[in-house]
Amino acid sequence: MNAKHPRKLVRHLIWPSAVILLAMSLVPLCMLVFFSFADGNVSTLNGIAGYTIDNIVNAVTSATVGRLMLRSFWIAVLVTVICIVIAYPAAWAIAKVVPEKYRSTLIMISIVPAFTSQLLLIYSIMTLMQSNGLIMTPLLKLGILPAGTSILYTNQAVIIVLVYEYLPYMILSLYSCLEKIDVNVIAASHTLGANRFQTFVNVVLPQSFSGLMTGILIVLIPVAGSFVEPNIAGGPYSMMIGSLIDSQFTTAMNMGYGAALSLLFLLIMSLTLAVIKLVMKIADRRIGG
Amino acid sequence: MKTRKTLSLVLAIAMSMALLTGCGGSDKSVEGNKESGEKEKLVVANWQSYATDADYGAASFAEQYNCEVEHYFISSIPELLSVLENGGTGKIDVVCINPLYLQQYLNAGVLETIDTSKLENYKNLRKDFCSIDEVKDSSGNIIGVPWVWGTTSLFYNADVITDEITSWSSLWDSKYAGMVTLENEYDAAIRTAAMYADQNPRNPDMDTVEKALVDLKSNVKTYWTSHDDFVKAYTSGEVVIGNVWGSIATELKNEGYNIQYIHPEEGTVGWCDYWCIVKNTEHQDLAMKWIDYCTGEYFQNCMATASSQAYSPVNTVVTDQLSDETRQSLWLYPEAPSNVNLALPLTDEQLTNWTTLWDEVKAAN
Amino acid sequence: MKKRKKGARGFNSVMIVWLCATLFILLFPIFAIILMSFNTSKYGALPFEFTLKWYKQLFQSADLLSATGYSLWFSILVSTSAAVLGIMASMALRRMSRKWNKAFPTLMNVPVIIPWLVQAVALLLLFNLLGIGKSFASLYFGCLVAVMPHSFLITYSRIMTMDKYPEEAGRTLGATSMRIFLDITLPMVFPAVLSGWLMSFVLCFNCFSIQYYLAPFGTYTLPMLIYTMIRAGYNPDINAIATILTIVIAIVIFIMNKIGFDVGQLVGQGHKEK
Repeated sequence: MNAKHPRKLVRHLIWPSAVILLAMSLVPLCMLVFFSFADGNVSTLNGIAGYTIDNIVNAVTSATVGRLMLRSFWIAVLVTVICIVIAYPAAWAIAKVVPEKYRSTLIMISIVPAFTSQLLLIYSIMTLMQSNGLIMTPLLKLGILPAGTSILYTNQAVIIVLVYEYLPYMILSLYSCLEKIDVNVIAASHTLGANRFQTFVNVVLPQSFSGLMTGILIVLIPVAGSFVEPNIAGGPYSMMIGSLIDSQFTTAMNMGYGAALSLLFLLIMSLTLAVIKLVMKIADRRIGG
Repeated sequence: MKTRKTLSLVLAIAMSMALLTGCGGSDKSVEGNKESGEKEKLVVANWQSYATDADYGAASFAEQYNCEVEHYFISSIPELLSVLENGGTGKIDVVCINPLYLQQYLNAGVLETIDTSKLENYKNLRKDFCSIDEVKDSSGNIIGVPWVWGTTSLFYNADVITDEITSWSSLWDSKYAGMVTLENEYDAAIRTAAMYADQNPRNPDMDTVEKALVDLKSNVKTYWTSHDDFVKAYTSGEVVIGNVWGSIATELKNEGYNIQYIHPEEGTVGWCDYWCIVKNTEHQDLAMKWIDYCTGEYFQNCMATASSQAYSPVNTVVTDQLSDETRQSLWLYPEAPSNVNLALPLTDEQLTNWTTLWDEVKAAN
Repeated sequence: MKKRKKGARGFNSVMIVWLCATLFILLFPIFAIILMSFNTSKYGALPFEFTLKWYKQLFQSADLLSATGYSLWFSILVSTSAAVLGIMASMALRRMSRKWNKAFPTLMNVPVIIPWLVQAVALLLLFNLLGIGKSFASLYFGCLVAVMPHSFLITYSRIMTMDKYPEEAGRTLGATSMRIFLDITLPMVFPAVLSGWLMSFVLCFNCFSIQYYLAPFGTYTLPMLIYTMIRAGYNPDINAIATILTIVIAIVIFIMNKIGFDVGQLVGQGHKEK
């Protein structure tokens, strides 16, 4: 066999992924854009009743949508930041502090919760949080919290549940890039007289940007679009944009508006990610330079 | 070398997992194989744990008519419609729907008309449920047969609330701030608010209703979305008053909780579920037998007296024979409530307005 | 760990304590689920009374078991496919122009930022147009496209930063392309592939919205079944199945550890292999 021939042929290995990506992701995306102009519901039997720009106008101008977007965005950022703060030291400990032979076990243990159904997990966390539950009872008895305090059915409860759900993904993402960092570089930085904080900012942090980005991608977006958690664990002021989108598809039967809302949501999330990427790039350059 | 070891280990794990799954999956497919081909199979779309999947439901029917019954568990009625429209017709034979959505289903052309003269038990069903306009198509043919009904009425925890509650207005009472719950469902919420605000629940003034519901928010602890949601909130003591399905109140009462369930003087929100036959079903006869079975005395009686999930029968012969005890547990004692406001369909425009209103209320600050 | 600076020890112990606390908090709800699967009360009420009735109930009705089985093997299938596709695409990209290498990974991010709910609805409409509707193929492709990016991006970044020297050497020594791939390239990227596999397995196992919209009639994955059960009230036999799953995973972890399987390679990108 000609050795050169297969090397060129290798290029064609991209086609399966490319076709799937194109057909299953870009085509639906285009359909979404198309459906945002549909008047009312879209059904395969009756097709589209008519076309209108109202969906998009409503989505952009509605105060309700704005409020929900803001709340979702704020909750998502908060959850992501909390996840990073908790996961970073934990991932560092697994990657660099514990003996190597325990690493695998620890990383597997940290993703065990992901194998339990999310709904079950949510209910379990809520049982722990309820006022006569395991967490609140001692806090109330010891007088740390005033009597009658309940955390369930508040925005805090939603945030706690979401942090629980997404923390394993953040640990996994951060671990996989922290693990690569060469201990010798850190040692060198110390030798050169840098203190712990300087070493972290100049050596460790820039090298973990890729893991942070993966983590943010995998946490920020699903959290911003979540609707099950606020529905179950939230109170009267916890509705998020995901609930509104979901209700267009499942109860209001207004797919056109649902598509427009999804599109708006998508746009905002893409912009956010672009900004985060840019900030990381600038930070990287400044530290590097 | 290390990698090879890793590889083989991963394969081993994958295989053991596949084995594990094989054990779980196999019994079902074996079951399917030995039955299919010989017996006719009826596919019924209904909610999970909703009478028909109990022993006295599908299992007993299958035995009696020597056929197979498969359930398709639904999670929302509009979703079921999209399933039917998107290839479900011809696969699902019988569906359980609420009249709220009957006309939508009819307009979508997924339902068959039902010849009620072929149904033995039809004459015994509650006339007021059978005769509503919404179960008829434009030429007056029947498309839905009622089989179960109930109310979404006012509950309160009698351990906490000792006053006698008779009116929806108690929900708005500032005494109960942070203790109220409402079902996260636009139809029940809007009609409840309409009754409280002295509006016609079928066609209320939307601004008044919206104001009432937004006012209520300061009292609301949470909006419950499912059976478990409610049970969790109630049993943990987080909510003590609000609206709930009669069947959940029955269940909690039977479990020993001191829950009271009343039909307020302004009226109460009712619902009734109907069986409909899907267009172009290949099992027309069996589907008819199924509907007749589900409205028959045996099934209806079992359903009303079931130990965990009991529902009110629509067969009047059965209702008349129920013991006082059963009536009490179904909240039908001494008489079934007369001021039931049944959920009726909304026009497309109303549907948009109602769902938008409910979303606005939930999103309000 | 080499002794670096005084205080390094103290810092390390803080990290370890932090890790333990995190894992404890993370696993606490799971312990609660396990405990409740042995509790008599249906609503998780205390005091605790031991029972095995939920396990009995679980093994009597085949629904939950078969749904769990289905979810497991389906997730294995999807994540394995995603891993294979990821390797293929990454290998191809190595031989392709810069333009492709810029565009393709960016495109791969598209499915990541579309909410699953939206993706599912759009796919259902698409599959209906194609005439396959809700079917196994729809379910498979729907889940595949949702998890593929995670698998691909991890494998790709590893392949692109990989040392090319061993492969060149192999080629000089006259090995065929297939041999080089199997004996040199694959072992080098394997940790990254596994890491991506694990990620996509977990994601696929949990992607309820897509499964819900695209699964064929009569097919229930575990998340779908639980969702339909929750409306009418679930029994603690769901806790029982979760307990069994957790125990199976614990056993797998234990065995891996016993064999000395180094997952430092599994999730990390294995710097010591160079």
